[in-house]
Order: sequence, then structure tokens, then C-alpha cells
Amino acid sequence: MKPELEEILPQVSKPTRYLGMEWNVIKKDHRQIAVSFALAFPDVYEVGMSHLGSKILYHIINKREDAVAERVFAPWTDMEAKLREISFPLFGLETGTPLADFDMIGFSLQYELTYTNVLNMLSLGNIPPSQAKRGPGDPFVIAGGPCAFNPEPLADFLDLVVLGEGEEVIGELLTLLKDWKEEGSGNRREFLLAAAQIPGVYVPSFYRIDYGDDGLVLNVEPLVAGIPRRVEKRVVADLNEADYPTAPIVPYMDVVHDRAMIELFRGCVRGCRFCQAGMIYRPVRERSLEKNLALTKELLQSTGYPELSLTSLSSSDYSRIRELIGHLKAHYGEGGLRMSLPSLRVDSFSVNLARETEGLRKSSLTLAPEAGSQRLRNVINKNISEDDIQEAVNSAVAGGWDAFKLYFMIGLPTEKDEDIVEIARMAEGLVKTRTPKGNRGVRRVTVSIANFVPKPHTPFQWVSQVGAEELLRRQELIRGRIKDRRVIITGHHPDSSLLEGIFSRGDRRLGKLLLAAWRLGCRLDGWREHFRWDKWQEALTLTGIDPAFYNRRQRSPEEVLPWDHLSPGLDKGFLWQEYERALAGEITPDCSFSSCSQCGVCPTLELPIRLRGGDDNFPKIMGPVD
Amino acid sequence: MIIFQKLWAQLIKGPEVRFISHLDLLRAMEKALRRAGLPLSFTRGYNPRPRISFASALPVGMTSCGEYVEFIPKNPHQPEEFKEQLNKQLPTGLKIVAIKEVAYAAPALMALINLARYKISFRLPPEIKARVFLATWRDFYQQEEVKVCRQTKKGMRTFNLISHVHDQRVYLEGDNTALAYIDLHLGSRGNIRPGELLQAFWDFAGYEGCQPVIQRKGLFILQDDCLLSPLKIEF
Ligand code: SF4
Repeated sequence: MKPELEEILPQVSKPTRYLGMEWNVIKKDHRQIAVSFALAFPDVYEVGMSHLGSKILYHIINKREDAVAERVFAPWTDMEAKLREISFPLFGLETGTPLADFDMIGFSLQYELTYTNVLNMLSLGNIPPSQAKRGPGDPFVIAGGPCAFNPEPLADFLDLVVLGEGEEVIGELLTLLKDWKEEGSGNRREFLLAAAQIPGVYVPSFYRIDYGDDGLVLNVEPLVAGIPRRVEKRVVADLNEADYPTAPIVPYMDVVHDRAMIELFRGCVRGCRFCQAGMIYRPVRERSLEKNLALTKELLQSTGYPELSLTSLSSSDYSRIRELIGHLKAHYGEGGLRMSLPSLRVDSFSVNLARETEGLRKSSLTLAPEAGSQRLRNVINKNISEDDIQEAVNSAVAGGWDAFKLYFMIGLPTEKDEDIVEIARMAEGLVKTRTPKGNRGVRRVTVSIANFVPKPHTPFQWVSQVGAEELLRRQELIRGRIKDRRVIITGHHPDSSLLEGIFSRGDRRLGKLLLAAWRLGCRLDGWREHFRWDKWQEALTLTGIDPAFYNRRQRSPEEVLPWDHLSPGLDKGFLWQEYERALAGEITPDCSFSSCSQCGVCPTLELPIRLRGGDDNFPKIMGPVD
Repeated sequence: MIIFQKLWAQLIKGPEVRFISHLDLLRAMEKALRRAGLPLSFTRGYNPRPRISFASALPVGMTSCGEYVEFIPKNPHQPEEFKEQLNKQLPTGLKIVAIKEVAYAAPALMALINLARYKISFRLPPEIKARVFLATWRDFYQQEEVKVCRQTKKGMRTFNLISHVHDQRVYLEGDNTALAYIDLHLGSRGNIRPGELLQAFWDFAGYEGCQPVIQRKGLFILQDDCLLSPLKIEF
């Protein structure tokens, strides 16, 4: 460790964040390596170290003999102050290599409120934030992740963007980078031109955006011949063939998800209309039971984790979930392995799975009905009934849970007061649940109310967000209806949701807003203690940007959206049709169990349409667990 | 009834892991044991915990060449083999250097160990003369009482730092680097940290040196004025 770090680490909170010597860490000598890549996560260590995508890329890049990947996270404010005080540049955790010495820096964009951290990390690494100002010696700054499907607010700062799953693209990019370095011209444009030929790669500076007098996007025009008009995302066709990190880094400190993770499948086709992940990660691709078991074995052996998380967007939808749990219990139950199933569907089948896996009922059980009334659940295509919810809770109470966390959203399209008060009614009803014998009941129901933020590439990408005062009024409406002391309501601040709303559907003109806010001191905006709405308002005034144009405006179906040229494979027509069905309160069934709802993804990506209803796996999940 | 084995081990915590907290260290050890295929037995009750315990928590930022850990494995092992297998799975900076089987009925390590030896090195401000510093040091330790207030679970409490000091010695090395060896009592009366003792000294002296490097040299059993190493006692 560098002596400067030895000196400052005792003076900052949680120094473990900055050490980079955890179990399974990979350190390489940069002098022996052709290309170096900094996996930059624009949030603190505990958050970044819980992210599966980053673990996958770390593993894939470091597997190559000619490449090295190191991690870098956003420092907490006390560490930032120290680094600036002694002019010590931000560094890769593994070897302490300064950020500016890497060939490429890749940011994972998970959440709009981390954008100022991107600028801050570049600045701490002495890298010009504006891509136009970067020269021959500077690294390429790239990004991926869900927010990369509308990276326009960051367009000024990114050299290129990767759409979709990175497993294959990253290798292609590194090979290209290596060749470009060897060739030695140092001409950045040459590299970007070649990179733009790789499917899934978007180079923002190669496109011109024309705006009308009304401020709307008129046209997005490629500036260079041979550059695609529309960039399609990349997907891994067969998860069984995909590389998986079976020896991930084991952090010392308690990170957000401190457990071994198995990714059961990718994608989710339940079709919830508010959910961006459900839209952009289509179609569903499962990893086989055998493969999942083999990966688990290696993973537990190499990490020593006592807990395994069976992750995906909706884990109880894995077609062989019961067999998987049965096998895992048979193999590892004796050794005290705990299992957890995040993102549970709201029904008794899922709760019964949780009953089988989670030995202890220490924590509360989380369920997400999302909306209070059946009408509104139909609008958002959350296809669960009040009976499903009650049965889920009955089953959980019988299984020993006495505390529940219920997730709802407010500010959803077509939402009326009648829908909102249903949230209170449902919570008051569920808290009265008792076992048939009456010997057990519910101790606490925590109702978490999030503010809905419309996201690009979803059926709600056209709608206006609900304003701050109205959101607060709706929160209060729920609070006012709660009589039972065992029901606790937690709400979110509308100001950060509205800021998220500006950037989620923003365009390139927001680059100057980001820069202004960051210069005023905004960073770690996702952390309430650092969120400075006053500074953001100052930045809006300084740049003359009208936030309502971005978050409080209903778009017309003809409007060219700033992200229309970036494609997760969905037909815009499908999204509009889903929007119309939403307004009519019509549901659209899950395409993997009934029929293809023709979202466009499978044909666009040239993937076979796989419906699980006819699959021979299907009957097996009905059988008993061994 | 199953008779469990009880193992005591001496562990080094090197500079690489000096910022790892006590709780994180405990969790790292548990994972290493799982990787090594050396399962521990668990406590009984509502919230079963693996049976591993440290004699004394090492403050964050310190290295140590003598921490002591007690293991109660699920199955009996040849102690040297246990040590070898575990060492292969320990992260850089952690190493078991000695191990020994003791009778299951032996008292808890935590109850036996009552003294910690620290080595503290720091630089003095350039304007402070060696003679002056050594005299102030002597005066400080000749006091009957050095009181500090500390927030504890039971509210504000006053400690007399000096009464926790068993022995101390200071040397000067080259130009104004001081090296102090301090033996502190551990146990029922509440532990004090060498850092706070040093801070009290700076307050007394009226000047302040550089950030110290503190190493725990070892933990001992003080018996009839003799210092015994925990692994040297027969149980
Ligand atoms: S194309 Fe059809 S089968 Fe494929 S993801 Fe879309 S709706 Fe489902």
C-alpha cells in the first residue's frame, strides 16, 4: 500500500472500502499486460460489491492473459476530501494504479442518481470529464447497465456505450483496443469508428441531434457513413455457455448482498408495464438445473459463504425451482447453508418456497403488490389478485413470519384517490391475518411507498410524472387511513424521484445541468444525507433548463424520443399498444406461459421463441420436492 | 453426549489486514474454515452461532503478532493438520503460527488473558528536545491518576488511565522517533486503548507527535508477577 494511503486511511470512515486485498482478488502486473480496464461503479463499495454484472465482467476480463480488470468505487465524502487534500488520484483497488493510467474505464449505470458520481470519479482520477477534451494519453470512458439504454444525459462524457449484456462485447472491445494500441497511431477517432462497427456499441459523438423550436427532438442523424441508425442491444443466447464467476471476491465488510449468488435465469416476461428491467432484459433465458448445481458447488467451495442467493428478476418463476431447492437442501443442508430467494412473486407457491429455504424467520418477508386496487394492478399489468396476496400472507404466517414489508408505488398512470386508499385498506386487512387455530398473527406490516418514475423503453415512457405536492398529498392520504398501530408507512421524498425523472427520460442537453450541479457540490445524490435539492435547483436556474419539460410532460405517440435510436429489441408499436391496453385496464399475460405477445424481441435478436407452457420441464414443477 | 475438541491458536494480523474490524475478521475466519472443510460446531438455541471466539478484540488499525482464537470444531482434528489446512485458506495478512489442543473443560481464553503488550512508535515534533520529552514521559507516568470520560452503554463513565498501565518503557531511536512498550491490564474493569493513553500524554505534554503506528506484541496471562503465554499453560 502506498504510504499516503497508510496515512489517510486511519482518518476516514470504513477504511475497508479502499483496501483491495480481499479473498479471491486478482492482482496483475500492468507492465506485462496489453490492456487494462477499470470497472468503475459510481456508488460506494458496499453497493458496488453486491452487483452481479460487475463480478461477471471482472471474471471475464481477468481470465484473459492479455488484460487486467481492477475495481474502483465512489469514495465517501470524507475519503474524497482527504484525496483532494493530498492530491492523491483515485485508483484501482487491486494495485493502486491511478485511474488515468488505465486504457479504458467502464461505468456501470444502475441508477440515474449516480450520474454526478461519474463526473466526480473522473475528476478525482484527473481525467477530463468531457469526451471531446480527451487526448491521446487519456483512457476511453465507456458505460453499460440499464441506464445505458438512455445514456443521453451523459453523452458529453462518454466515449462509447454498450447496450445489453456485456459478456461477449467486452472481449471484442478489448481485442480491438489491444490492436489499436499496438498499431500506435493514438488516433482516438479511429478506435471509436472501429468500435462503432461492433453490434451493441453506441458512440454518442457520431450522432447529431436536431431539435425543433418547441425543444422536441426532430431527428437523430448518424454523422459518419456506416454507422447504424439504430443500435441493437446484445444478448447472451444460451446462459449455459456463458462464463460465470465461480470465484468472486469475498469482501471483508458487510456489503449489501453479502452472499454467494447464482443467477437462475435472465429476463422476465411477466410484463409489468412500469418495470424497465422486465422490458430491456427480454427474453427469458434459463440456466439449466445441472449447470446451476455445478456452479453452486464451485462457488461455495471457493468463497466459503454460508449463504446462497438464488437470484433473477422473479426467482419463483424458474421452471425447476423446487427441484433446485430440493437438491441444494439435500447437498448442503447438513453444512448449515442458508438460502435466500429475492424478488418473490406474490402468491402462496412462492411463499411456500421461501418457507422451505429460509430456516430462520428473523427478518420480515417482503412482498410487492405494487398497487392497492385491482383496477390499478390491471393497468400496470401486475397480474395478482387480492386473494393471491392474502393467501401469500396466510402461508407466511403459518410458516412463522410475523413481520411483512409491502412495496407499493404511487403516482402511477390513471391513479385516483380510490386506488390509493386501497393500499391502506389492504395493509389494515393483512395485519389482522391469523392462523386457522388463531395461535399466531402479524406483529408488524411495513408499507413502503415509492414514487413512480416513468422509464424509457416501457409502455409508460410517454406519461407525465406526478408532481411533488401531489405525491406528498397521496402519501398523507394513505397515512390518514391507517388506524392500526402495527402498520407503519414509509414514504420516499418526491424531490429525488423527480430528479430521477428528469434524467431517466433526458436528452443530451442535460449534460450541462449535470456538470453545473456537480460543480456546485452535488454527489452521492442517491444517499439522502448528501442529496441537495437546493443545489440542484440552483443548477437548473443557472443552465436555464425547465425540469417539467423532462418529467412533467405527456409525450405524443409521434414524438421522436431521445432514446428511439437505441434498441433493446422491442417494437415501439408494442409499447404503445401496451400503453393503450393499460389505459383500458386490459392485462397481457406472461409470454413464457401462454402465448407470444409479440414484443418484437425474439425476432429482432434472432432468438427462438420458447414458451414454457409446452416445455417438458413444466409438469415437473408440479411434483413434490424430493 | 458428544465430547468436543477445543483448540487454541495464535494468530498474526499483518499490516495488510490492519483496517479490518473485529467483526469482519471473525466473519473472514468463518468463511476460511468453510473453505478449508473444517466445520465448526454451533451454539444451541434460537440463533445458532459457530463456536469461534477471540481472546480480545484488536482495535481497528493495529497489527498484531499474538492474537488468540478458540475453535470448537464439529469433528476432532489433529491440531497441526487443522492449522495447515486453515492457513491455506486464510487471506494475505492472516496466519496461524501456533496451535494447541486443550481440555474441553479449560476456562475460556477471554477469562484467562489479562494483559496486552503494545509497541507504539511515533515521531516527535522537531522542536521538542529528547531530554524534555523523556522527562515529560516520566512525569506523566508518575501521576497517581489520569482521568478521562468516556461514553459507555451505562452512560458517562470516568476512567483512571494510569491504573490500567502495568508497565511501560520508552526509547528514542535516531532523530526524534520514539518507541514505547506499554503493558495494559485487560479485563473486568474495562479496557483502555493505547491510542487514548497516548492522546492523554499529548494533552499533558502540550504538544502532539505524528500519527503513531501501534502493534500489539502479544496477549498474556499475568500470574504472580510472571507473564505467561496462553499456549504455554497446560490444561
Ligand atoms: S417476442 Fe414474444 S416470446 Fe419473445 S419475449 Fe417478446 S413476447 Fe415473449
